[in-house]
This record gives sequence, structure tokens and C-alpha cells, in this order.
Amino acid sequence: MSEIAENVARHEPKHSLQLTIVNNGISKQIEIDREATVKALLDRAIALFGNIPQPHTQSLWTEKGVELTNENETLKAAHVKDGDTLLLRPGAVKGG
Amino acid sequence: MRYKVPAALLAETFDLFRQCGGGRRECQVIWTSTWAEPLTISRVVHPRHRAHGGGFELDDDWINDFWLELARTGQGIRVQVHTHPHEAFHSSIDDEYPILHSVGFLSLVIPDFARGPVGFECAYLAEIGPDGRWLEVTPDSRLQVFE
Repeated sequence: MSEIAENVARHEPKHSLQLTIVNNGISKQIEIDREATVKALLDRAIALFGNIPQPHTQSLWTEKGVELTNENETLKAAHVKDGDTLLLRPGAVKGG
Repeated sequence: MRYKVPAALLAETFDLFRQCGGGRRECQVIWTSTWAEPLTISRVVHPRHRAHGGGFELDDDWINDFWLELARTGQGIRVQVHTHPHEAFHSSIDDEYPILHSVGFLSLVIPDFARGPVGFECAYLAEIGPDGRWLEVTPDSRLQVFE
């Protein structure tokens, strides 16, 4: 690789994100392209934890309590950053 | 699988229901245990929630903080417990909006706003089956109270 190519590679932004997903007290790591959609990450998170028979009840939330509601948005557009922790949790908890 | 429930935590659960609900409102608590010893319930958590005579809803921000706290402390949710005004059963709202959607998760309903004797008399216990549906199970088959 030429010196110019090496410099370009060194400064090129990373395309994948290393994320931590938290569910019921357990943390797991996921590596995913930043251009992937929120839905793709949600599907992978649900598959990673498994044992969730009603996946439609789950959504991803930031540590600050913001739900990633637009499933068609890319992670980049949703401002998800490398090293972030996201919570896999139900959208609402009720009883009656 | 049978969880061991300390009698003191069961008594604490009823105390919380009676104090918070005051015999007029539903209330919920969550039983957790450590991932190192998952079958022994070690904590009763009283969530921040809104409630009325026929239902309750947990605060969103509280759920987020609780999710992070569980990860920090190495604990997991095992059983949700809530009261009903009269008869104990699992309503359609109880079915649809539990705090955890995983196979084997338990939901215990205590009748009469927990004003009766501490224990599982007339209580209703439901468990999530492999197909995601709730099934009634007997409290004794899943919960063992010990002193």
C-alpha cells in the first residue's frame, strides 16, 4: 500500500459500530454497520438474547431514555455512536 | 424451575402493596435475584408508577434507570407481582404489557389489594410459555417460601 493510501485508510471513518445491548441485567456486544437501520439492529438484538416470544413488544432505548422509534432510520441518522449502550426493553409496562 | 422466596420479602411485598395502594389502588413490585444465584429471590423493587383502582403503569424513565441498574448490579427480573381490587386473574392488559417478555417469566396477582393474609391464598400465577402465551400455573409449583 502506498503512503497516500495508508494515510487515507488511517483517517477514513469507521463504518461499523461496536454497541452494548442491555436486557434484563445482561450486557452483550454487537458489531453493526452504521448505515444499518434501527430495525436491523433491533432484530439482531432480539436474536442475540433469544427466548423472547413476543418480539414486537421490544424496542431499543438510549441510556438517556430516548426510544429509537423510527425503525427505518439508519443508526447514523439516529445518532447512535460507536461505543454506545442501548437498552432492549418493552415500550410500556402496565397492568389492570 | 422453582424460585426460593424469603418469607421476609413476601411480607415486605404485602406491606408495600398496603402502604402504596391504601386499599384503593393497584400496585406492582418486581422480584429480582442475582445472575450468580438466579433461583433465590433477593430483592423486592417498588417501581415508580401511576395507579388507580383498576390498573397501573410504570414510569418510562424509571424503567430505563432500572434496566441500567440491573446490569450494574448483576441482577435479573424473575417475577412481577401486582394487586387486583377483588379476584386475582391475568387480564388482557397484564398479558400484553409485562416488564419482561421471556419464556418462563412469572406474573403473580394478589387479590383484594393485598389486604388478606400474607401468602398465595387465592392468588393467581401465570407463566409465559414457549409460544409466548400466558399459562396459569400453581404458585407452589414455581415459588417456595422459606423462613
